[in-house]
Amino acid sequence: MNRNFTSILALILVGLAFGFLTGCSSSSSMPPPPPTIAITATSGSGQKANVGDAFTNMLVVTVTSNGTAASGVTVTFTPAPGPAGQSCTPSATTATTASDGTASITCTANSTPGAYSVTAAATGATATASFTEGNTAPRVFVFYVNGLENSASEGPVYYGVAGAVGFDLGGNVLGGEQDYNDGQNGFTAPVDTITATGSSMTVNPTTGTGTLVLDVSASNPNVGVNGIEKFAVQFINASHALITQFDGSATSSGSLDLQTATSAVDGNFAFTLSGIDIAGFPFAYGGVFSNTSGSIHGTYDENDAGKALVGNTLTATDTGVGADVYGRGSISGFTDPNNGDEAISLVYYIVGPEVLRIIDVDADDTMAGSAYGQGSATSFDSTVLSTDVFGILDNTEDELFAAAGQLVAANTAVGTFSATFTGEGDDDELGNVVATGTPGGVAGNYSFSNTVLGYGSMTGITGLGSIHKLGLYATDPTLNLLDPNNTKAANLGAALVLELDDFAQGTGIVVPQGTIASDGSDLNHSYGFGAQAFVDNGSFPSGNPGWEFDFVGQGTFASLVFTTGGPPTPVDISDPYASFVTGTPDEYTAVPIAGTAAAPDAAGRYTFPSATPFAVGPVGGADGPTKDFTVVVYEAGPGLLFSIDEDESSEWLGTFQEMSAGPLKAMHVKRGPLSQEPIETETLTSRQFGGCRQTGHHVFGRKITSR
Amino acid sequence: MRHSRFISSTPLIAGLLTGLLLAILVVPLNAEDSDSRYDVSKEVTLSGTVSSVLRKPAPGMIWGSHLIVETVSGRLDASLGRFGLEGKGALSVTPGQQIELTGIMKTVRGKEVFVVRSVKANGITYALRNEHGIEVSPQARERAAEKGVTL
Repeated sequence: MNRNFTSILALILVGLAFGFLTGCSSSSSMPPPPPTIAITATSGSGQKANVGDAFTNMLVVTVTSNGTAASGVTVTFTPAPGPAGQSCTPSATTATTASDGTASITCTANSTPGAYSVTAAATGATATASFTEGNTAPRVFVFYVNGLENSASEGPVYYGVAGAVGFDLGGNVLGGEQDYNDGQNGFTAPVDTITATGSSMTVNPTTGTGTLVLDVSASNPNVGVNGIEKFAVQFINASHALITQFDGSATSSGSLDLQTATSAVDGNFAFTLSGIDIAGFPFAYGGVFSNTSGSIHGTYDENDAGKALVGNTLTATDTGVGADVYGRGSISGFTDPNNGDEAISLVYYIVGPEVLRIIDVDADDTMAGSAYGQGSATSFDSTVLSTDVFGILDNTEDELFAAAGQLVAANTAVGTFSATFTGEGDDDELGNVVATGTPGGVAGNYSFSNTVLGYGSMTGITGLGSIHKLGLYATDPTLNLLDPNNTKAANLGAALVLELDDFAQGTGIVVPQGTIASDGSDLNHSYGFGAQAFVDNGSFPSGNPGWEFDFVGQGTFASLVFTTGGPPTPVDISDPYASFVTGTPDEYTAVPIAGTAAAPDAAGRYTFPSATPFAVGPVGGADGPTKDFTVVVYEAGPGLLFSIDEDESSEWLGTFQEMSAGPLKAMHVKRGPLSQEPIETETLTSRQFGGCRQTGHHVFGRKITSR
Repeated sequence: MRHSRFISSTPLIAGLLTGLLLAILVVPLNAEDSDSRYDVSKEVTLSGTVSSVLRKPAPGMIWGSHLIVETVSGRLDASLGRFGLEGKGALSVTPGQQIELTGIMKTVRGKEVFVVRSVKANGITYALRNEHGIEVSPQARERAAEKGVTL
């Protein structure tokens, strides 16, 4: 025991002696520990500058050594380009810290819009500092469409696209981004990069008709034709166009609008969305919400394949646009109450402070739609409606109906939240025309909540076929729902609607109606027009039936006579399911349209009598067919007409929007004057049956060599 | 030939007649029911023999594919909707085949049409529409199959 203790003590003493000796040795020969060098981005991050411009503020870093400002340290600045090549050119790649430890550079945005980072590394520092910067395009247009994708493998299915494309002041596409969702078909991409190379827009400045080509092939080659999407565009003015996909991969209708804001979407909104749910059934939403610093609260209705759930509580989070330069933000927390509160991820693109284009970006479901601001209103009562015109179109996956008409609210008063209405309307349900504008034939009730801002419904509707109940969501009465940047027009406000019956899931708008000239003389203007049409195609091509075509164009009313412009005729029809020429799906250009309307009734309803029908054609060349459509027009005012086709084999809802020729000529887009040269009839014939499929240009009597 | 197959089965005839009688009592065939709503409370089940298969509607018919079915009370225009004969797992029938249809009778543009919600053929029931009359797309059919859900 004592021997053991003695041994242990000896070992301890030896150890202590060794430690003492070695400790003395090291204190006299080892260098001091290296100082801790740290670098931080002090200021200059989060800036945005137009392409080619220097950022306003310098990119400043601070370097410290053991927490104290370090001077004389070399800092290297390195831009890390984004996926489209967006970056900036630094004034110097290295800088030396001053006595306060700071070093700085300026940076100039290159020619590509987009967000990216610039890293700064200090000699001796293990970590780097990072700046997030963004290059912006001088002009950005936000677009969205929804319609029917034409998939050879999966068949036709609802799809939506929303995005933004940037232009320089010469009309060249600088880049952009989009979200595409076909839900079931598997081409869904959270964000596709639109590259400048391969993208373009050309517009005839006289007619406003043109072509937008977007190249997303590098990020999503599945969409469009190998990643190249083509849209027919019809500009109404310099900041607004109707568009339809025009490349055979899909057909759809939507809008292209100048972006006037890229951040801050706080406020109160009404919205509608429509698409396909996780189970593959058509569904649609409508409601109202407030957004306060990203905290979303509201109330919404859902109609899922005929099962309507109303008054659902909406609690979601707007995560904002962050560094995105195209105004793309996202919303989480939105759910599908008809499918077990399945989460639905939404992305939006900001058109302006009061308009968002919204798209569902889940792989299992798909929706597209819009949210519109409610302005500064603190209350919406029965006076939201007065004398109005409405248009409602079903989801293309459902395609049961198109409806339009006039309604006249009665017994309205400020502070009253319920009232009645009468009116007249037209309704085509799968080719079954169930309402044809009987004066006073439509009636019903409507009400707005006195606690939930602008949330209402229309109930007990009679005279509109199967339509008996609509969700009603009030919008800013100073907002133009179809052309958000054009607030000088009449017909501003009033509300969005959602079909809440058990037969369909349509969405639409209600706008105020102005004074209507009894002889139709107030229509003597040039109009851009477009429509989304559903047809009874049956099965074509075999095993892949489709049921939609879309068109845009320009024409003029003169003493009730409607004719398209040109030559060449500025009308593009997207017909991937061969609705016009049996067996020949195609994208037709230069299709004449003509018809003479009868004078309107007191509700502003115009018909095209059978002797002077709304005739579309010849389609695909001089020998192509001409189709007469039973078209009815409701005039909201000279600036805005709703058109509805009510045939047994087709139905559509569209608009005529009065054009502003002057501003159109001032727009910053590539001019596309049409170079025309006569071509032989034989050539036309061969082009009609396949020769133009690749170019998508069909002409009537003339050859389009450029647009 | 087709009738002989009916006559050979007395219980089947009795069932058919009962079904048809019920259909006639519940849904007057000349009822004007021109809107698109599907009233499930008016649903009936009928049996018959496929006379022809129309992948495209004939002029005057409502949109989508149709079956012309011979029943004991006469010829029936059965609307299958756009997707009835399309896509994986879709209904497949041929003329002469005995089938059972569940749906409602409607009068559209002055013509009677049987709006089919489901078809039983070869011992398999094919759902073509949901309880609200919304058509079951090929995608919805595929989803349901993946989940093992009966539509």
